[in-house]
Amino acid sequence: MIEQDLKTLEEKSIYIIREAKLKFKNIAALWSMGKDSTTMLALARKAFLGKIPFPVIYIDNSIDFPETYAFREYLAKKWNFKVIVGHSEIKPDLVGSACCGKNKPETLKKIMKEYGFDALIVSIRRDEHGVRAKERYMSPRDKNFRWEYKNQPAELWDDYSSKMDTSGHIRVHPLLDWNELDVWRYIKQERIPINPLYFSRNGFRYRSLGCTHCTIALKSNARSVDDIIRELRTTKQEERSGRSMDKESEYAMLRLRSLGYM
Amino acid sequence: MQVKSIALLGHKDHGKSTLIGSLLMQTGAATKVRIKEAEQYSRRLHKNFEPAFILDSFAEERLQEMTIDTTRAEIRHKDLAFALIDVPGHEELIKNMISGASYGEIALLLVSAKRDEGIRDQTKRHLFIARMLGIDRLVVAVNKMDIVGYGEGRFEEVKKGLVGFVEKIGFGAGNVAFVPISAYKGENLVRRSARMKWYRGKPLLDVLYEAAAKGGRKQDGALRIITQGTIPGRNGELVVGRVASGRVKVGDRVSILPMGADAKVDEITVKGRRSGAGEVGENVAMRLSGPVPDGMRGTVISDSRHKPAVSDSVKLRIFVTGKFGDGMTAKFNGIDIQCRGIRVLHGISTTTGDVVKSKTAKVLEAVEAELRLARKVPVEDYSVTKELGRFVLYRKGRFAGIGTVTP
Amino acid sequence: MAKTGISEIADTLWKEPSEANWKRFAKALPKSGIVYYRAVYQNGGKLNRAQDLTKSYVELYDSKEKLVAKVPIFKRDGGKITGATYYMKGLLTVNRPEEWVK
Repeated sequence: MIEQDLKTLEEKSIYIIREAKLKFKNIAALWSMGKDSTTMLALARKAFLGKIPFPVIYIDNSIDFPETYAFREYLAKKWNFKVIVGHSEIKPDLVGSACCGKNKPETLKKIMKEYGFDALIVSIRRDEHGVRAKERYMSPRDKNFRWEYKNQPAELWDDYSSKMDTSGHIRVHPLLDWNELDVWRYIKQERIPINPLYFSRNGFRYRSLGCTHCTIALKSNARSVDDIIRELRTTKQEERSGRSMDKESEYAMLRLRSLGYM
Repeated sequence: MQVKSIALLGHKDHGKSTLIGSLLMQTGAATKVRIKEAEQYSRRLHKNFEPAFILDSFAEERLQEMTIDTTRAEIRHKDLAFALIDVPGHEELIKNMISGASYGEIALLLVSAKRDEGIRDQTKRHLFIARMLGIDRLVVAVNKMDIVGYGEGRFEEVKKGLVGFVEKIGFGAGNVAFVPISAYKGENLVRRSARMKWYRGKPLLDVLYEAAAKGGRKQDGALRIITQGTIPGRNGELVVGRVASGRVKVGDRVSILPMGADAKVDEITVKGRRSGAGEVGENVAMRLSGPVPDGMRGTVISDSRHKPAVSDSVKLRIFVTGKFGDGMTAKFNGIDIQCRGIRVLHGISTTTGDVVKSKTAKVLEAVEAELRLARKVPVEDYSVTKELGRFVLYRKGRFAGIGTVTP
Repeated sequence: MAKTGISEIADTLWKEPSEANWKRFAKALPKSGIVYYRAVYQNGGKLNRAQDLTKSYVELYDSKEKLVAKVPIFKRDGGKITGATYYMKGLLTVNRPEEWVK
C-alpha cells in the first residue's frame, strides 16, 4: 500500500464534504461506526468548525457488536451530532448473507424517503473493493437506489454532477481516494476515537466491521493504532477477508451495489 | 508519499502493457514468482520473454478478486509514486479527468518507432483534448527502438512529426520531453541505455520525475478563491472556498466578484483551526468585514488590486462533443449558467492544430467561439487561473463540449 | 456455573426474552463481574430469518475469562423476534476460537 500524502487527501475530502452540504438541500451521512465512516465524521468536523452539520444514519440489524452500540452512544455525545437509527430486519438476500445484504438498503430507502434526503455521504474507498474503483465522488442513484455504473456522468474539473431524476439521490464519496493505511495514519495523526473491536484481544482482531454474525476476527497482535499501521505495512491479506459476504460471491457485490447496497 | 497521476496515452499496439510490465519488473514491484510465471507463459507460447505477461498475470489475479481497475498501475520511483492511468480514448480521458487536483497534469504518450506504426490522427486528437483538459506537461516515449536498430534517425523523425503540433496546441517547449525506449527490452526505462549513447537525456522514470516536480499551483499568482458558499460561524456567516491561486492573509482587502463588493478578511479558519493565512490548494473559511452578499456560491474572492475581468461574454476554445444550438447551459465553478447565444468564429483541426474556415461545430473537432451568458462571471485566461477559465457546456442535459478561455 | 444474579436473569431470559427482562439484564450487567462475551451462531451459521436467532446464544465470561452464563441473543416482542446484543453494551468480545474456550 502506498502511503499517500495525508494533507492532500484531507483537503480534497473537506472540499467534497463542503460541496455536498452546500450543493444539496438536505443531506445525511451513513455511519457504520467503522474506522472509515468515523474518519469521515472527523473530516466533517474540520470542514464545519467542529460541528457535524448533517444527521448521521445508522442501520441497526439488532445483532451488532455490543462495542459498536457503546461506541455509537459515546461518540454521538462527545461530538454532539444527531443519529437517526433505522432498524433493519433479518431476512435472506441475493447471496444468502442475511444480515448485511438486501435488508439494510430497504431500511435506508425508508429513511431517505421519510426525511427527504437528496444526498447521502458514504465512506467507501476505491482500494477497498474492485467494484468500488468504478465509483465517482458523486454518483447518482435512481429512485430504486440503482446505480448505473456503466453509464455515469463525467466528473470534470471538480464539477461533480448532480444530474438525476428528482426521485433519486446522490451518493457522495469523500474518502474515495484514501486507502486503508492512509485512514489509520490519519486516525493516529488526529487521534480519532475508534471502535475497540479493531484492536487485538487474545491474538485476534477485526479489520473490517460488520455485525456479530458476519464478521470474522483475523489473527493479529495489533493492540494499538501504531501496531495496526505496522501490521498493514507488511500484510498481504485483503482487508475484507473477514467479512463472510465477500467470500460468497464477488460478483454479488456488484449486483448489490447496483441494487442500492451501500 | 505523493502519488502523481499520469495519463497514459497512445495507440493500443504501441506497447503500453509491455512498458508497464517492464517498469514493474525494473522497479522491483513485480515479485520473482510473477516474473517466473511470465517467463513460463512466454515459453508456452514459444516466444521470447514478454514483460507484458507480468501485467497479464496481475490482471488475471485481479479479475478473480474483482479488483477490476486493471487500467491503473502504480510505479514507485525515488520518493514519488506514479499512478499510470490508461486512457485509451477521448471518452475515457474526459470521463476520468475527475479533478485537476487528483488526476494530475502530466501525460505520457507512447509512440511506436516502427515504420508502419508511428503517429496517428487519433493520437494527435487525444493530445489536443489532454491539453485542453489541463495537462500541461508531456513526456513522449518513442518505443520499439530495438526494432529500428536503436537508430537516432528514426527517433528524430518521430520527434519532428510531433514537435510542431504539440507547440501549436499549447504545450510549452520546456514542458515536452522525448525519450527513446524499448519497453520490450527494458532499455532506457530506469537506467540509461548503453545501446543509445547518442541520447544525452535521462531515462524515462527520471524524466517523469522531473516533469512531476515542475507542477504545483502558483503561489505567486494573484489571490483567487473559488467560493463554495457560506456556513454559520460563531460570529456570523463564514465564506468557504478553495484558494486557487495566491495566498490569503488576515487583513487582506478583497473583492467579491462578479458583484464587486469590497471587504476585508477578518478571520481565517483552515481545517477547523484559526490561521493567519490560507495557502494555495487549501480550503478556507473566512469571516469578512461587512455584510456578505446573497448568492455566494460560484463567486470569486479576489485580491482587490488585481481583479480578473467580469463579463457576460467569453471567448472560448471548445472541444465539441455534442450538438450546439438553443437552450445551452454552461457549468462554471459549481453553478449552472444559461447561455444567451454562441457564435462560432472559426474551427480548429484537432489533428493539425490549424485554424480552419468551417464555422460548424463538428463533434470531435474544435472551434473558437464567443459565448454569451445570462449573467456576468469573473473570467481569466485558462493559462493564468484554470478555475476561472474553464466551462463545461450542456444542451438539453447532454454533454456538448468543454471550453477554455483563450486570449 | 456460579450462582450470580446474572445466571438467574439468564434463566428468566431463556423462558421469556421480553424487553422488560432484557432491560433487567442490562441494568444488572455493570455490577455482575461479566467482562467478556462470545456470540455463538447455530444452524451452521445460516441466518435466513430472525427466527434462526432462537437457535443461537451468547456466552458471558468474567474478567478471568471463565464462563459464567449463557443467554439468548434475541428478544421477543409480542410475536416479533429481533436481536438483543444492544443490551450487552459495555462488554468486550472474548475473541477466541471455539476450541479454546472451556
